[in-house]
Amino acid sequence: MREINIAQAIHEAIAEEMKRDERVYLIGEAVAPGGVGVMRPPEEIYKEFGEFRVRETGIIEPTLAASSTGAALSGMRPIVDFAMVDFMFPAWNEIYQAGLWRAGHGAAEDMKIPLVYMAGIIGYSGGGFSHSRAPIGNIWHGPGLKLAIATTPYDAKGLLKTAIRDDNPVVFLVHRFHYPVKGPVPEEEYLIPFGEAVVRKEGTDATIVADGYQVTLSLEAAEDLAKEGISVEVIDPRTLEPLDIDAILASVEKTGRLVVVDEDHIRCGPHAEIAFQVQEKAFKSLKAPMQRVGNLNTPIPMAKILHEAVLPTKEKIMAAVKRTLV
Amino acid sequence: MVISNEVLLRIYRDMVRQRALDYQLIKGARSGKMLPGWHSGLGEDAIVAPVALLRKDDYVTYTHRGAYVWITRGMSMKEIVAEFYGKATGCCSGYGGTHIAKPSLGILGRSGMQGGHFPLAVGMGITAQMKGKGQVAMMFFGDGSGTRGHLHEAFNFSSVWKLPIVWMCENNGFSMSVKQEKTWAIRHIAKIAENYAMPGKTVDGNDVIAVAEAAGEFIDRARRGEGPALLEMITYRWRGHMEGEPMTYRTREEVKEWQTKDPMPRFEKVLLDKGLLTQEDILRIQKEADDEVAEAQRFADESPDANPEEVFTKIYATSHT
Repeated sequence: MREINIAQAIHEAIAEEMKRDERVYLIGEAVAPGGVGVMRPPEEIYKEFGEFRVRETGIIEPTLAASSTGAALSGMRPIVDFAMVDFMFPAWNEIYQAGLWRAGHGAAEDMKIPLVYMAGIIGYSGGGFSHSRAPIGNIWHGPGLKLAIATTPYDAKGLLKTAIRDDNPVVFLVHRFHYPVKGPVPEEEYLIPFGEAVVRKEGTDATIVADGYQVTLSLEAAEDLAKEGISVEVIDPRTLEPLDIDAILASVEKTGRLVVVDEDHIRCGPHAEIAFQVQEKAFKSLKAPMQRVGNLNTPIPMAKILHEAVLPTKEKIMAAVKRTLV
Repeated sequence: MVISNEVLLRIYRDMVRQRALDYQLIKGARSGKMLPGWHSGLGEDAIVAPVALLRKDDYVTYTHRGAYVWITRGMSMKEIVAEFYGKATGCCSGYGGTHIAKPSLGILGRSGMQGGHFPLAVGMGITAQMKGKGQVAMMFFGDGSGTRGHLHEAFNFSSVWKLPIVWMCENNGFSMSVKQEKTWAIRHIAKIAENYAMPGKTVDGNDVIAVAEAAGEFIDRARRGEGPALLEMITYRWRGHMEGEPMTYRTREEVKEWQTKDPMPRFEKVLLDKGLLTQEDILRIQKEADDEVAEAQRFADESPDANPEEVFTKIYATSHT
């Protein structure tokens, strides 16, 4: 099978869905050719669809988020490129609002808000406190939003196409370290349903649930732990909303131990939600206290030695797994 | 732009109807039986006129004083009153309250974050532009929400992209309790339009004909693809920001003075002078509106309560393309 990287997989998904449905359009800062947007599509997409369907904007995050809600409510299907997930912060009210809107209006006339908020997580980049964050918990916290985090080219294409066709607001994230990673992607069309986790590595001693770049770090940790005779299972949920809790429970029932790894703050982070659900539904399977690895509730410093002190690393993940084995 | 006699009469009738509804919601809020507070729009009734000039497939966003929009767009009083009383028969099944939505009439909901409609309207303008069927989006905001930064983003990009949007500023002089002189460096907000390379105009917001003619020109202009415009209507709200607030920030004399500028009798006089209306018509239209309100209240009172079992099923649409 041919191999392409995640950036190419995303561009293919966008181009295919724009061809399939004329209501789909792409909007964002610097999405047009020559732009500095990290996920900006190749020039052919702009040439084929024109400036209305590849709409380049200035720095207007609240308007990016809410104009897309207005457009979606009136029948379009926008894909918003926020470039980096930090840029969602100025639009937090409007992003939350997209999720609240339908039920907030009693789903009047079965109103639909089909849109995708797409962004890269750019942690570990030296961007400091405002250009390195992973507000996955913040997004998951908001009612009405769906949340997909792709870690392979195959998943990126299949999940993004599903997101574009969904009649709800979906946040679609990819970590910047994953953009250039190549992987097999079929030529023929496929979709990946939301709410289906994948086991990235099978194991018997402990379960790691990780998303985004933390999947890569967790697999590296699992590889090193294997050399020490510790067998770790790594689960990538792919979507947090909806969450495939059954896949996580099945693994924990097998291993009896759980480590949750996510780049967001551990305080009120995704780790806590997943761990709570596990203790609620599989308490008797647990042989040790669950562990979490994430941002240690600090602003992210610039220097590598400093941000590695607060963000997850392979070594911290390995140590967390060992804590469950005591 | 000249407004036809038929439209003038429709405007008059809807002004009477929405005012009757407004009084009923005031009563409800003061009785304590109605859950959300009511933000009365009494005194700003001329705003019916621009809404009456829209096409059925246009989009319109409203402020928290939305009765003139809901009624003029053709919503039934029953589904509005029932909504305010938290009934299953309300237009939003009791979930929305003052957040009224009726998508089939181009009323796509309301953001309670004041000023939140600026970017929402941009999106409706994008839809209208992409569909290319001559639709327009009309967005109402007050001098209060106009101080939000969202105004700048929306005005600028609606003009950059030449979106078919009519920005409608109902300048009632107050941001809740704060006088406009404390929130704006200028009195006439329409002045800022020229900085966004779009036409702007200030009119007497209590003069139905002036409002309608100016709005009509801007609507036509947007429909022709010539881009957005800003119309400012200078008006005044008689009631408090919401029912029950003490209004200590202004004098009774000030309110009374503005009540002498009531848009209703002024417009009645125009229609009487034109021979479009008789005193009997005025009484009949008022009676019909009062009956309609009473019937809507009865409907709401007799309707079943909202259904808590649906709380979890309304969040997500189950559909996809």
